[in-house]
Amino acid sequence: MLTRDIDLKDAILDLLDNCVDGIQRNAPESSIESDKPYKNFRAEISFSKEGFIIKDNCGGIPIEVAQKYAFKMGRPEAANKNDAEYYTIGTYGIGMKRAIFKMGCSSQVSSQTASDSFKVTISPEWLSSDSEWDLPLEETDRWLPENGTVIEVTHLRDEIAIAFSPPQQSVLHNSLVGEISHNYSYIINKGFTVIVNGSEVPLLPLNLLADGIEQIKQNNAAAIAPFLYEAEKDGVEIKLAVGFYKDIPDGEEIDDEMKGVKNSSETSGWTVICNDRVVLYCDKSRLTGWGELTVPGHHPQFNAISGVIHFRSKGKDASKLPITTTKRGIDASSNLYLYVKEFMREGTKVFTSYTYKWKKNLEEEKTRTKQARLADPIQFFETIPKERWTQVNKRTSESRSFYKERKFTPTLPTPELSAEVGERKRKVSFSRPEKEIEMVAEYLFEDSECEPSRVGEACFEQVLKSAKK
Amino acid sequence: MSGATIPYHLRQNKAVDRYAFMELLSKVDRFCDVSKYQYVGFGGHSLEDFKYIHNRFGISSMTSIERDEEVYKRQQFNLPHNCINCLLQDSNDFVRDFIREERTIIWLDYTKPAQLGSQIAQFQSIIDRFSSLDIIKITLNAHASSYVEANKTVQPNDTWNARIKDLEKKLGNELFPFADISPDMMTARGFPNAIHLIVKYAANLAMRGDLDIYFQPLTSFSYNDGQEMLTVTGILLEKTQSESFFNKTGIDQWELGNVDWKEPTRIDMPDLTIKERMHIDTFLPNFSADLVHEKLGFLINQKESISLEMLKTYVLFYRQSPYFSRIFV
Ligand SMILES: Nc1ncnc2c1ncn2[C@@H]1O[C@H](COP(=O)(O)OP(=O)(O)O)[C@@H](O)[C@H]1O
Ligand SMILES: [Mg+2]
Repeated sequence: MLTRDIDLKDAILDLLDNCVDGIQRNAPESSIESDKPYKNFRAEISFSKEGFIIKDNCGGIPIEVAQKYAFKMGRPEAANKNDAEYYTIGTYGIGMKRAIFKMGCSSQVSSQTASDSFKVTISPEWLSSDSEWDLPLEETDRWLPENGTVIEVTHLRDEIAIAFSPPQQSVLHNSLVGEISHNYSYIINKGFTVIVNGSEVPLLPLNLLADGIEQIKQNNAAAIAPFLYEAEKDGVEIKLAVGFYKDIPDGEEIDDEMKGVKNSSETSGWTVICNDRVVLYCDKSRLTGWGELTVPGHHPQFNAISGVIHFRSKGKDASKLPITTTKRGIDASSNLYLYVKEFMREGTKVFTSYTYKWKKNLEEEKTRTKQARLADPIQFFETIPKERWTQVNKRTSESRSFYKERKFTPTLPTPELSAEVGERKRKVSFSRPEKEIEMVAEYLFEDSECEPSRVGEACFEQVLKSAKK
Repeated sequence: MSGATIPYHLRQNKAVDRYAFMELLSKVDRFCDVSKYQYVGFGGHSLEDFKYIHNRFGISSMTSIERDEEVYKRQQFNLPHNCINCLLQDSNDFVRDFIREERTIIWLDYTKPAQLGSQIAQFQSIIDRFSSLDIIKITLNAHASSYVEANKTVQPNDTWNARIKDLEKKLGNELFPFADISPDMMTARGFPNAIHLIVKYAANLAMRGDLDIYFQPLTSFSYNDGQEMLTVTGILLEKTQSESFFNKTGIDQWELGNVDWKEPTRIDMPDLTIKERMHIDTFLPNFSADLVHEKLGFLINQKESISLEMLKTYVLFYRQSPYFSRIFV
């Protein structure tokens, strides 16, 4: 039957997913194109040793959905029809029940839609009886200020009560907020508000480094900017952007990570979004083209590379999206996905090559790129002038079924070949005891904590000056 | 920049923090015999803390960790008692090999902001191996501009956001408390509390698997003797022990106690002459700071409100505050 074998955090996220289902059923069609289409939708989660509550104003659970499967054990085949026209993520009709049973043995779910208002009560007796299968649904007066749902769970299981009480309460609070801000950043960016125990989940936008637009616009000037691609096929709009989201790592950071001292790769990789839902987060595998064909496998050297690809179905037909039937993962074998993956690889490669080119001149790279600022890559689809985009060659019949297709490849800076012909740059590197480096750093910069690479370079320059005399 | 070379008598606030630590231990002593503990710390060249702890509590199982060979040699020379086992080792290596065999008090006295991530990880691995009644004190750099310098050419908000990003980078997604820390804490003044919340999160995270035992904070101070520092002391308690622990020690009632992660108490001692101090001391502990301020007849800072604030700090810490004076030998 229902397994409780699911992480507590995931159970809570399942409930939050359901709020997003609600938004997608109820967001006014007209607002989908706007900047913040989800502006007035919110979900509030709170938990303590007394119990758990999630309330939202996302339009409520349609009563047919509730009757036919939300409160039935197991989801009858036919029930799926109800939701076919919306891009909701649920499929099995288990998310909510599983989350509730994970936490406690008593619960009340109240929901109000434009047309109905009802509540369902789950009691410990019901849970322990084997004969009763369906949960009785009781119609109620309309009492919620806005259409939405309130789920309350009490009689918490022992281990859940511990996780919900101090001191562990704050641990869950912080890690839940962290997880939501990463995985729902896209929806939050579109205006959805999530509150956990009174604090609003911050927006962690997926921004990429770019020089000013004036610099990017210039035809033959090098500039830091993301690689962009967009197209349309069968009513699905595709937009992808890949670039750097932070400075490229130096040798020390790469070493630390290889040794397992530190993990700074978490937010590197590809994120795939279908109709505003993150279906894959920061993937570094073949699934998103890493280590495939001419693209190298992911490595700490590429820790600063991050990409996002967004599929959006126009209208409400979500069937053409490249997602698995559970709607939780990417359908890697769909023709649509296989086709655009070529551009994901092309984009990734622009930036992996860049890190190779600059590997030996990191100092110069740093000064060269320090003007770049983090920006929302979506804006560049509009601001980069037409002339700077290139058309995509149509070779196969498959590719001809894509239209409005274009891409932008940035002209990234390359290491300067020194003016004097034949003068190649070489790398000098050496290790010294930490204490000695600190001593020299204090001597040269009056700051014993100066970066070792900077200290080494300054020493060289100092001696070079004397040598030239 | 690290305080290592500044002598104690010039680090007045740190000295107060150390006395407060001694007082805390003597309160714990009412619940369990502190003399039976081992003490582990970063003693520095003079091993001053070791001397105090040995003299005051009779602890005689002591280990000092020092990674600098010269300082280590100097410790051998200064060795105040022969019960101190000096190790020439980095704290990272010490923590990796640490096996808890007896009741332990450990003071991780860090200074470098760059290594915050590894410092917090060391703190966690220690408490992960601790048993109930073991005590840990951690001191961390909480000087905002040593993390990311304030930049006058941009909006303050940009500096604050850069500090958040920097902390996130140093700690990684695992250790960064996303709910507790917000950009408005990233001011020089708010920063120690942000570091405090990082310690709180790390401690509770490390104790996550344990159902009967938890990390109980006891004191939290911030002070500045050149760099802003934060220092937190806590003990591992069994949940069933907690009531009798506080009944016997009274730490939850103590004016310097902080048993629920409230903002750290600031130690900022005014620079008073010995004559002034002796005069003020005659009014204590029975008079309030306001009254003493009035009786003093002059301000100790140009601004009256600040003058009163400073006196209040003195009144809070006067018993922990040492007299330093020159002696000729
Ligand atoms: N808060 C909510 N707002 C709107 N719809 C909801 C809400 N909670 C649940 N639902 C809907 O109820 C149905 C059952 O949800 P759930 O038990 O999570 O099943 P599934 O595993 O299929 O998502 C889904 O269609 C879901 O969209
Ligand atoms: Mg669901």
